[in-house]
Amino acid sequence: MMASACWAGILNAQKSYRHFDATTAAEVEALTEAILPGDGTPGAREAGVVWFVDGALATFDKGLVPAYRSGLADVQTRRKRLFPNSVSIAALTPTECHTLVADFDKTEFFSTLRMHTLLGFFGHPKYGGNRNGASAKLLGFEEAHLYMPPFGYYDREAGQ
Amino acid sequence: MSVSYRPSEEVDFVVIGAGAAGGVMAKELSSAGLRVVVLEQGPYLKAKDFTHDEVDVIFHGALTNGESRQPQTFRKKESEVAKPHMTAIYARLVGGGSVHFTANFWRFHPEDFHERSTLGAIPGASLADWPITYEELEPFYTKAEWELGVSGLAGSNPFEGPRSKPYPLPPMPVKSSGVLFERGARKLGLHPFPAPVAVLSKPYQGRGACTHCGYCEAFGCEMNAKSSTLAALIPLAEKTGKCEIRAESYVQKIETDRKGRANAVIYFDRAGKSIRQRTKAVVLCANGAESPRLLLMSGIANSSGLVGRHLMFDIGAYAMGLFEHEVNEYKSIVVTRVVHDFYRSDPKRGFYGGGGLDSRMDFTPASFAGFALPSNGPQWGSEWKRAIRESFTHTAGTMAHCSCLSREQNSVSLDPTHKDAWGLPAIRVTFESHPDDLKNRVFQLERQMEILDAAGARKRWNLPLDDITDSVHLMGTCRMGNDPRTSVVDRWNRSHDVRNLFVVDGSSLVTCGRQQPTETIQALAYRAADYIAKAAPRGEI
Repeated sequence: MMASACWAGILNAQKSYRHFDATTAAEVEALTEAILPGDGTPGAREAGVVWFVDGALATFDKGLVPAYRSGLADVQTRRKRLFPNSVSIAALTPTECHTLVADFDKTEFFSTLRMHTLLGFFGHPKYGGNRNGASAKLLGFEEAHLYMPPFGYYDREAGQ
Repeated sequence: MSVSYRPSEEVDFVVIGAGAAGGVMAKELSSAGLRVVVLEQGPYLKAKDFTHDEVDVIFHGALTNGESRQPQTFRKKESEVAKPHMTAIYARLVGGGSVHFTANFWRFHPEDFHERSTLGAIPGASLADWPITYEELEPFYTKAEWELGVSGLAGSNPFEGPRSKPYPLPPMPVKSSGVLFERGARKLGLHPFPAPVAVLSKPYQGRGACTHCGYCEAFGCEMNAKSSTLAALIPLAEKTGKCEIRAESYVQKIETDRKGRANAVIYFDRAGKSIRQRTKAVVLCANGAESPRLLLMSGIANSSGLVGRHLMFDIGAYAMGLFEHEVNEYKSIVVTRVVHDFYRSDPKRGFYGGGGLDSRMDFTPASFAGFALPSNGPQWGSEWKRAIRESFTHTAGTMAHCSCLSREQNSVSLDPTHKDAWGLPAIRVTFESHPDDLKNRVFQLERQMEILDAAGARKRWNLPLDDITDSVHLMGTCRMGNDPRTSVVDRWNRSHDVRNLFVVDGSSLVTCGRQQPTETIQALAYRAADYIAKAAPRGEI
């Protein structure tokens, strides 16, 4: 927990993107938020998933840059078709954004985006996401490096 | 105490691969006073180097082979052109698969060694008897358990063969998933027992007990409590002053002399320089995919034409149950209870096959959220998030470890076009399951569902029973047998053709039991080492 908090502290201080421009980052962030929405507990936006994606595309997932470029272009086309008066993905309401994602959730780009959302939300904070213990909060995870029995309800019950 | 040999110096043995079997060979041969060089393609990591970083370990395969360096190709039938696909997955570091495995430590059952005689021929399969019996291997199963450090309860599995000694350590504490699994199994009249695992329930031989951190499967143990060869044996091998572990050494060829005897091993060092290490004999422990590949690249030990054939894979079924209270599978080891009631192949079922069932959870947070929930449910959005929240701490899993019938046409071979980063031919896998294997998976899955129901699951589901296109158990590709025309190695894991070459890893397995092959691979290694240590001083290698 301490190590995670420390990483998060360092990374939350990060102010500029390494791969995205601010406009594109906002578009990607809106899509990840639709995949894992904030609804009482932190969603992708609060967890900083877009920072994970940005870091990934600047380093170990450089090879996915073209997929993001063409994928986002396709999603923008779909947005203009579905919501002709809209100006950006980021400016859509959550309901509109959900409709937009449902329109491309069978594509390869969606699979890539979903995988990055997973890794950014649940992965180690050192990659830029999973901020403020987002993963542990959602999962009900008691984050520690060492546990002792009983581990759960049923082995506690059986031990009595 | 560590020694280093010059490549021009003729050592007694070169061991290729420092994994589950190679680690045993390194320790046993050096303890017998033999001079050993161990060549391992992966890095030499220590406990302090291991992490809980699932992005790196699970999704980026930090400890395993990967397509950037070592691409592979795959096809179902020999008539097809294989396409790029990673099929044969193995750990790539000193300690090999014993570092990142679940640590399930099952002995094969006595009947596994003679199923062909008991059950008769299976059409479309190459089922055969082993040339050895359980009784011959038993002392070495026991030796593996005591040398490595295994926790379990002798006599608790009514289906296992006789054992000469109990386990050295008591079973690990039962988890909630184990309590539920045992409850369900008992209601059905089955015989659940504490999982035998290569994890220390108490301090043993200078290593500390498990602290239940929850990162066993796929990860390396930061506490040295998992009884890998890295933790338990490699340090002893180095202490002899006879054994040099040469990591990041990628073997390209075993060289033979005019008499057909192995006399050197050629490898690329970490800088990519080709080195020739002279040796009196070779033990090949590179795993069921890399060992046949190296023999094929070297053009040796293949008078039978069977090197690479009879490939068997890791086959199973996975079911999950959602329970009322918290199960907390993220804590402690993967498996705490097992059932072997459906292990034996029963002709009354109408197909060949059997399985061992265990309570388990292999999934870490991202892999659980992404891939463990019902495939017909929501996969994104608020409903998905709700399912993740409800399920993660309340889900108990069970896996069936199923038989895989060998077939001669299933194989590891050299791809004619694709190359690895060193310019060597890529592994090409040809694999298609026997129809009985799928019938057996469906049968075993039904048994898992019954256990979850009997345990009181509020909801249960299974992961899709897809075609098998990848495996972490790599077996059968240098089959053991008495007849040089139908097998690659003899009953001592010794090549029929190259008499100072031994192949000791999953590749010599004639059948795959019900998966969990590591203990059998290590018992075979102890047995072969015992034979070598007696034969070498007599000049019989």
